[in-house]
Amino acid sequence: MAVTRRNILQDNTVRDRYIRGVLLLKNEFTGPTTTSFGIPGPSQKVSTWDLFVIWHHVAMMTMTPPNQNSRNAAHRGPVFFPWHRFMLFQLELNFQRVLHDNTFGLPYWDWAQDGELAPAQQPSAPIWGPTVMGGTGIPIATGPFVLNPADPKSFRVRIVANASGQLVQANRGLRRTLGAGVPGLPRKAETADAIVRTPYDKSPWDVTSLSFRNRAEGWQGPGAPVLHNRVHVFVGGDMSPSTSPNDPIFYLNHCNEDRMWERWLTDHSRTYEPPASAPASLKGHRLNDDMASLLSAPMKPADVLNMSATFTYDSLAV
Amino acid sequence: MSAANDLTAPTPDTIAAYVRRHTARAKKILTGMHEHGPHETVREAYHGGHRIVIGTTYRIEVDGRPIGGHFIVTEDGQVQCHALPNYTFSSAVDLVKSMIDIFPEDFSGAPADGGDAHGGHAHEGEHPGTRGVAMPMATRRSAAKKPASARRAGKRTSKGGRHGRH
Repeated sequence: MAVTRRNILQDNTVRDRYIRGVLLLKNEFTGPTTTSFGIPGPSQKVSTWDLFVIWHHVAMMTMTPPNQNSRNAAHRGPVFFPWHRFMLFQLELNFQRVLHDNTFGLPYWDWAQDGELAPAQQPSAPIWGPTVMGGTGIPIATGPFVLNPADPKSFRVRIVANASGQLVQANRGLRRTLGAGVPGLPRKAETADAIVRTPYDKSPWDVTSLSFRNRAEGWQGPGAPVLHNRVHVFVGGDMSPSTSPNDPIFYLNHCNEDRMWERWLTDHSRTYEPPASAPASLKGHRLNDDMASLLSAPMKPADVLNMSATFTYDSLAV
Repeated sequence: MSAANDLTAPTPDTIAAYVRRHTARAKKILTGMHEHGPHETVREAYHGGHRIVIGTTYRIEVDGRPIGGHFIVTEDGQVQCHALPNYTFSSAVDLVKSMIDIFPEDFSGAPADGGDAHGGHAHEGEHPGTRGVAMPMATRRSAAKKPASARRAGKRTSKGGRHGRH
């Protein structure tokens, strides 16, 4: 039976279970260590939560194809939406496991709703409240993910990318700089404009494509970065580098992006480009290519175009 | 769904097993990204029957220390880098300023514009506010001819900020 993914601000039970799941996965260690991945420093166990951080970073550093420097195995190309849906699905399964609740669906954050607030009010919107995601700061000082040095189970950032794009070890609190990078979140008019764009993607299949994917990912549009990218930049701090899944808000952002894609798929006959027959230069992005995986077997874009038997959204009004 | 059975019920054991299976590839990618030196972005265009090729590499130093990582110039002249995957800039200077703000540990020496890092005196020939920061930018251009459009393409990288706060 399909689980329902809900607005985190409209369901306190889902909100609290999400927070509990984050902390459980942050403190679960299945065996891999930093040494396993060649991360410098003493060998430390890597939590399940942090494996998702590494997975995202590795996908981002996997150039597709290898002889260019822009399109990677999860971003800046057509596979952006399928790959993140794969990632969300994997995380959802792990939440269900540690929460012992196979009805749990990941919540989403309808950030465009907050984008309708005055920019000065957005950093203090309810999502950043002490019972939800906590607030801003280096490190953050409120909320369920504040570092308590005396509590080894409190939320700590353990693996980060540095300025050279390399993974390094850390032991610090979560960082956010709400509103410092851009003054405001995307607005409803922007999401409405994105979901009517066609095709899904097109040549040159990159950050200059005039397509739904590229607009929603956030590379093209007035005042870019827009939409997905703009949310990352608005939150700032640990949402800035390739290790952005460190921040639990990452998944609420992407669940909302996935909701936007689901709306687009519903309105556009669940189409996808490029097809399986596309040239090898698009390997990793074609309909039947394996997507980059770490914690499971791979999936293909074709596998995730219709997952309505697995999850649905409480609303597709984006 | 080709892999549905494998994906429906992860356990700590399956996670560990899959990570072991993928670790060698992941490690190769993580360590291989930084073994090839500066990356050159090559842009091609055609104008008035001429083929334009613009190759761009960046050599960036902050406080005399080189900054690694891949820097990209998009077809429309925006500057981006892997370290800040959701950002786009009209200026490499703005990009590096953002890197300094976002990765403070990587630039943990005394600020170069505060006057104390180098004994409180201005170095000859250095611009106030960027003292101690050298960021030469090497841009190689070649073209069958040097058409005006190529010069216009070069100008695009120096337009005003598109990313207001950086």
